[in-house]
Amino acid sequence: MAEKKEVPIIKRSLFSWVLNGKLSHQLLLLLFILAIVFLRVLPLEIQKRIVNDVLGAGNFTLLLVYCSIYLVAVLLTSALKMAINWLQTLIGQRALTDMRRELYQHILRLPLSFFRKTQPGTVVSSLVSELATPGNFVGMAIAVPLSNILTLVAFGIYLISLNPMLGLTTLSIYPIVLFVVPLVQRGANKANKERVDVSRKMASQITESISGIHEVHAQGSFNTEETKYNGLVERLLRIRIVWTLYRYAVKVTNNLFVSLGPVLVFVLGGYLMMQGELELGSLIAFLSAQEKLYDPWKELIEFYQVYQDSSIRYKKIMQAFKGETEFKLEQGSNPSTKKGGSIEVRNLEFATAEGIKLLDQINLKVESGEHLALVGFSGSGKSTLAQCIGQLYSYTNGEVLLDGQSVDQLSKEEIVGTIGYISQSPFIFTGTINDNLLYACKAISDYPESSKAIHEPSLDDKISALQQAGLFIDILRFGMNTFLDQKADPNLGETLLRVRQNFQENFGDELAEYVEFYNEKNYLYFSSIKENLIFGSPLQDDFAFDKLSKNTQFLDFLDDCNLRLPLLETGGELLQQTVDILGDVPREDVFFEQTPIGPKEYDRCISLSEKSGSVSLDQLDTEDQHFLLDIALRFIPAQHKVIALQPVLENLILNGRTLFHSWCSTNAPDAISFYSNTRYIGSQTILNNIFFGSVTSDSPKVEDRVNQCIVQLLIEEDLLEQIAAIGMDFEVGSTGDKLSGGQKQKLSIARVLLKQPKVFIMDEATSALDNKSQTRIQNLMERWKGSKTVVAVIHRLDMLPSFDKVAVLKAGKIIEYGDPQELIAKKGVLHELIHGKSH
Amino acid sequence: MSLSMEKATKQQSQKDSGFKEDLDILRQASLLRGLDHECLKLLAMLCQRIKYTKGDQLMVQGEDAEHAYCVISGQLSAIHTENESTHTIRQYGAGQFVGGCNLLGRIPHLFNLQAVEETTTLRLSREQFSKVLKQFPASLSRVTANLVSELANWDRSLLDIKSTGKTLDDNPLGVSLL
Repeated sequence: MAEKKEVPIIKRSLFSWVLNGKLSHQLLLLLFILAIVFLRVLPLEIQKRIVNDVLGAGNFTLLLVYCSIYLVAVLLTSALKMAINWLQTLIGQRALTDMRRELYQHILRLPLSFFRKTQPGTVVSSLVSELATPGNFVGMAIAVPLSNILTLVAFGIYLISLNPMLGLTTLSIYPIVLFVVPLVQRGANKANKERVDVSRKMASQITESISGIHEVHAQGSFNTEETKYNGLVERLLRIRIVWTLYRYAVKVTNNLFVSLGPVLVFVLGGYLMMQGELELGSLIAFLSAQEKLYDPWKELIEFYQVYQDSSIRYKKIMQAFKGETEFKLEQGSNPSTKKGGSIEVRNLEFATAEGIKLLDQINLKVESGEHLALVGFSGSGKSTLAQCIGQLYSYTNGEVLLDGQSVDQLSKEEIVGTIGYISQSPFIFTGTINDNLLYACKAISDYPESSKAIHEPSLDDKISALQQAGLFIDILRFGMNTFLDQKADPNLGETLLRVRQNFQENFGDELAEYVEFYNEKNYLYFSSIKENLIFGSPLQDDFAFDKLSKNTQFLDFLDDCNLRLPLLETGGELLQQTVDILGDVPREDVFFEQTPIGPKEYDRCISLSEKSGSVSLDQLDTEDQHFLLDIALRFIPAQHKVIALQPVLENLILNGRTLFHSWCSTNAPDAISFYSNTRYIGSQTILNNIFFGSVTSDSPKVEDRVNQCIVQLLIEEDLLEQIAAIGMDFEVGSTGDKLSGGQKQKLSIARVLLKQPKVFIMDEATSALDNKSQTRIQNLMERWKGSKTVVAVIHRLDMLPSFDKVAVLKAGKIIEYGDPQELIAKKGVLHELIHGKSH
Repeated sequence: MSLSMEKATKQQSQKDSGFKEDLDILRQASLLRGLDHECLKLLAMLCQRIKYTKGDQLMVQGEDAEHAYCVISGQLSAIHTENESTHTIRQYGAGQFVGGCNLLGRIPHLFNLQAVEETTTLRLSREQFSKVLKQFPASLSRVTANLVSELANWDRSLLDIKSTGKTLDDNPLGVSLL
């Protein structure tokens, strides 16, 4: 996008945005401005002619002509003003978008060290709110000064041409204003700065008193705290008055001088008229012009203030993000030599800005296909070394060579194409499993040169990566927990019914204890109230689960069996409890797992909870009642712990189930397909369909057994790939909230496996995995011997024997280096590390 | 390798919500003592009740365990395995809190934690804990203070034993399970 990037954004001036890419718009704007200036002066001339030529001569036709011209000029001025505003907004908003885009592009590429010192909040406020004023200024930058200055000049020329002496005298006021106004403004600025200082002091005073409120209450020192606060409040009061006075003074001074104009015109103009040197029409034109000069003048002064504010903000923002990308991003059109994957580190030193050496005198060599382990106590620098090799940090001295080329000189494109980096705390992005799985591959394909070589991974590639990382079963489970789109695949339902049969034959007895079967006589604690009540799958759209609370037929039924009010109360209680417990938490999935209320509807819940405090439930409007009913209908007792299901309600619902069945057969015979062991249930997940019930435990052991049984059943029907593909569309929640620590780590391994790099850098990449998964990754690494280079920071020393070399680090230096077995036999530091003697 | 299973407890016949009970239990947990009430409420909202049957493993020696447990009923054993010999180093009964350190950082565990009988626990994960603490940053210093005081208590109880002239045996073990 930003193809010409000679000047980095942080070095660009505010004015550089004015013309950049907006030349045609600005030229059009200029044209409009010239037209509007002409149209502003025209009425003055018409006015003069009407008085001088028409009124005296009594020519009515000419009067009409002049008036029409006057009218057209006024209408055109308004239309042009509108067009100018539109162009101004367009230019301003485009500039703002460009600034936001380019600044974000710049920020993302800043060195990692920058982000250690910068709060995400600073980035957010700069991009979202702070840039708005400079953007707005860019829109005004040409239009406002030019149109107003030109208007002033045009009026000036016109007035001078009418009568040079009177014209010059009238205009002589403005230089005086130009001198006086900044003087007054200076006073306003001083007061404004003082206001900011005192406001800050007041903020810290409040913070101190409130943080120490325990002590204040314990000592009863309310007066002491009030005195401190009141002193500042009074100071602020005085400053604000002075500040406001100065601001008004700017306006008043301006008004005063401008208002002196007519006096001058009357005195001098009147005298000239009496002398016969000025016509009446010209005098009127002078008086009108005097009035019209005021607006452009005021706009110019306001523009001056916006300019001051914008340039200060713009400078501050750009200063906050100064710094440059440490590495070249793209490799360019010269293809680099093919990477074999050998790594050599020579005299490497990495020092912080304060000069503390985190790595010093590091020397090591890993041949292509060799595996090196980095071990040491925490703080020894092993992760930093891995990060230097992976080009995450640029080192201060020495060099790291990847196939003989210095990592410092290689482009990001070449690095990510060769190295697969897996960190110890992987970050998972909001989106689906598939989005995250493709994350690394997609990144490479976005680079111009690499995009030619890389192709989108197939479903088989993805499944293979997931299997290698040990995440495949989890993905199947996600797939099983989704609803089947029967329209998209009508045959799958039939196949799954066969799977249900096989399940009941082969695993029914064994897993019966952990499944709550869909038994008509029992309340289902692992299902929602609506599932309990309906006990079937909706066939008609207005009976769909998410529309039930608005279906009048269904609401009538609830009234008939006395369920509406208890459900409303349950909904109200759920809402109140949830709001009370959660308070103002971020709207993230993790906080909403044990309540039927979702993060997106939480704001509505907060406002409704305030409302329902003052009115009774039946006084709420229909929409709100429907909302509460919907919450109650979604309540799953075994999952949503905020309230308990009261036995009375449980009985009412069980009773309601029987009533609904018979109500349906007379009132809506085709609305519901009731649960039956021989029918696929569209409103239930694939897993619940196979089990004909819900699994009642999420413990790892039960899950393992359930998973084994699922895999066996799916293999029998050749459904593995199909279900996995469904599972890959699973939404992982905000920053992967819905995944466990182990699943996140496996996903981060899988996404790197998918891009098949030549070199793997693993920074404690398996630390969150259980023994089994860890062994799986170890076996996988074993198979890479000879073909893929591995540099791994390891936390578990029992993994050591599978490595060709090990480097033991201490305080940033390698203290032992070589074959792991030989080093252990030497009984040095590595031996101590393994046997824990050094603790 | 019997097929022992865990069961999430149903809350169907309770008049009180599971939340209130969980909040009461968490309030008494050693590591969470003195935490802000709003913070405890959020923790109680996120934690889960899990029932384990005899022999179920809650932590595995050598693996990172990401959960802490409050024992509600039943008993858990911390067991150390070395060269195929095992020995129990500590037992945890109702009201006790195990694995608080797991909430604070990642460590490969030195012990297995196992259900001796049917045991119900309240389980809290590191992820949940850190999400909640992000909302109440001041609580972290409270948790740290609790941990420090628990460590001091640990040593004090050992000194008490020593002062009576008894041998310490395996008593010192298990501090990483605090």
